[in-house]
Amino acid sequence: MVAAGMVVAALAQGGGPSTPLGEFAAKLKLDPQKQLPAVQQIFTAASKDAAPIAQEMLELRQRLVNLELTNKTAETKPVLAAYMDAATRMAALETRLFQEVYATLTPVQKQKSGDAFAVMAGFFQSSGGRGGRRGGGGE
Amino acid sequence: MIVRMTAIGVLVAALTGAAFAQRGGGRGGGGDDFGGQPLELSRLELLTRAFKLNKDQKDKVKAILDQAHKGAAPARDGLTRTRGAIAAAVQSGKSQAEIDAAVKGYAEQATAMTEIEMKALANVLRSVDPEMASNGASVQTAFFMFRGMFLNNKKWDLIPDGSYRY
Repeated sequence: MVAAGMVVAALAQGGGPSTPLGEFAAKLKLDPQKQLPAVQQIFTAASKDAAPIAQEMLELRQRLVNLELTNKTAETKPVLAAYMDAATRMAALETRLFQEVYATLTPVQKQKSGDAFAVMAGFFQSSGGRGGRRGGGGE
Repeated sequence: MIVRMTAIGVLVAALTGAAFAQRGGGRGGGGDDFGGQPLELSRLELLTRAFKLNKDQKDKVKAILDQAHKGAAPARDGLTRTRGAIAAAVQSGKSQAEIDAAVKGYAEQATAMTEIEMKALANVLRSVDPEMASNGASVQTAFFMFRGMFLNNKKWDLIPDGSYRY
């Protein structure tokens, strides 16, 4: 749920170029007045559907590493199958989202949309993020 | 085994609370105080700090991750290829069944990459000092850092910036 909240928060900030949504908008050169608000709405709605899937994928990743650590590798098969199922649902959601946005694009934007779809990968999942740096604000 | 079980407990604990937030890999883990200056650290340096690796351990971790990065090539290429196939299917107006098949192809590659990442993480945790492997913050830092770690086709030891996702 936190991930969805973070995406929504990023959207509320307008999805600047450093955010995945900003990157997506930049790839497509979305019109900030005519196109971006609708796209933001589509992403915000999708983030709510994506949150439980992202949580499930996170938990399955942890189960996988736990099984590896305890040398129970024979038990990984069903976990991988569950992960595959969740990954399919997440990719399907991203694709549905892409299709919705695609329908609103101009012909020129449609031609460049493949790159935009690439940057949507993992949009709703937690990741290493912008690591490797530490500001002075503390945690 | 007790120590390893502690590490596992730490991983489970990492699922709760704020752990789900997108973490910067550079938060140091392990409660280190890096001072107030902004730092940009590569993944290996982050792991070195998080787990307080000595030179031998650092070399061992590097070897584990070099090997995993090499082994991830098919999944890495597969992710790029299948992601492109989904976009192409949408752009060319393919049927929903064909789009769904492309989605499944992508998910297969994502699952393969996930398995590689989690095996590599387990191998890294086995190679560090037991007390560090049971440090919640350190394990959490590593856990989140490993997602997408092998997506760059040239090297894994980059400053993580969130740009490699799948």
